[in-house]
Amino acid sequence: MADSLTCIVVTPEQTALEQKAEFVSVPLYDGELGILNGRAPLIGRLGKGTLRVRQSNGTTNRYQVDGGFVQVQGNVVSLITESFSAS
Amino acid sequence: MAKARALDKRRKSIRNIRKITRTMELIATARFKKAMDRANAASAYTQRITQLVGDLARSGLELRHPLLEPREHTNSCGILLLTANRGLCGGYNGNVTRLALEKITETASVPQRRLEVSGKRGITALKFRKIPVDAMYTEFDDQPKYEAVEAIANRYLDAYIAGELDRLDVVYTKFLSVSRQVAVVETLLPLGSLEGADTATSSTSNKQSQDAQKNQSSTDYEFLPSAHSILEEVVPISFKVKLFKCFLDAAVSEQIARMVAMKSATENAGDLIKQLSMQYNRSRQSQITGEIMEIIGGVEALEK
Repeated sequence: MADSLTCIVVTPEQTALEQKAEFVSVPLYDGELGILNGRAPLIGRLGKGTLRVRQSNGTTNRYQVDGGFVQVQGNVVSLITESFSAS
Repeated sequence: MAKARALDKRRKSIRNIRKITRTMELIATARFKKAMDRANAASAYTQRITQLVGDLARSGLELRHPLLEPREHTNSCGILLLTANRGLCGGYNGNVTRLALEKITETASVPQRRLEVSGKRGITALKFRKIPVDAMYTEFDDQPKYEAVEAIANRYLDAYIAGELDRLDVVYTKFLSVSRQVAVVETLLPLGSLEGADTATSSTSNKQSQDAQKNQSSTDYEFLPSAHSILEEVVPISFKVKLFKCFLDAAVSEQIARMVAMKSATENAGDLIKQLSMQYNRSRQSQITGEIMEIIGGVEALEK
């Protein structure tokens, strides 16, 4: 499967991440949410946890987020968060 | 010779000053570019939040939140003044301080008033006028950190929710464009209306935003856990972002003000050098003429 999703992470200071992905897993306030190609539009509250971004070549990048929102619209996953760091 | 030498000395010292002001201008330009880049990078976040609020408004949710409601009686108000840590930036510090002083006299009747100042220049200006300051910050330079601003924002939010603060005004220099910055007073608490909430109803002439609206209006979002709980969290964040933007604007404006001030200082020094050079040459010439006249006079006296 090709990298059909785009994962964008914005923090108050900058756009911290912009990456193509095949699968994105975001930590919502009450548990993880996996997002694949063709996910219905969604706005959700984020909790504290790990953001996983998997690309079609098999590499998975992990990042820590704490609070904020996730917005999914037309294969674009945008995370709006105040705290973001690679792990 | 005395006068000519004094002029030459002055000219030399002005040359030195010109070198310094030119360097400061270059530094301010570089810092301005950096601050500007940061402000632009931060605007992505603001845009997303605004868009999110717009989406919430379109979902038919009534935008109500304690932070948005104005209070009937203002028993305590807060004033936050944003100035620079350093001078030599023209009227930048003077303008905001003057505006803050107006605001201070205006709110003299409010029983509880809390005055907070960021920047050494503002602190000394108020100390000189013997106005007590409740809190001072000097850690904000040309690149304000979000964490530091957030800490201040959280304190205000807590005070507002607890009822200890009814109104918060921020006095800062708003960045309109590279050639235009104005000192303004902005009421951040209560927030009044959320940016982006009106776009759902009002028709915008901008074609791009119309297209964007068309795209968005067709999307039916799924809210997790609910639109209401998301609104609860968006409002405080929206306040924090607004306050952060005030700090960023102030930082960018400061660098521009310094750049402009130093540019005109360099130009003035150049003019002064030209004028002094002319005076110096004239006095040197008249001195030489005087000396020649003396020699000729002496020779003539010997010949007789």
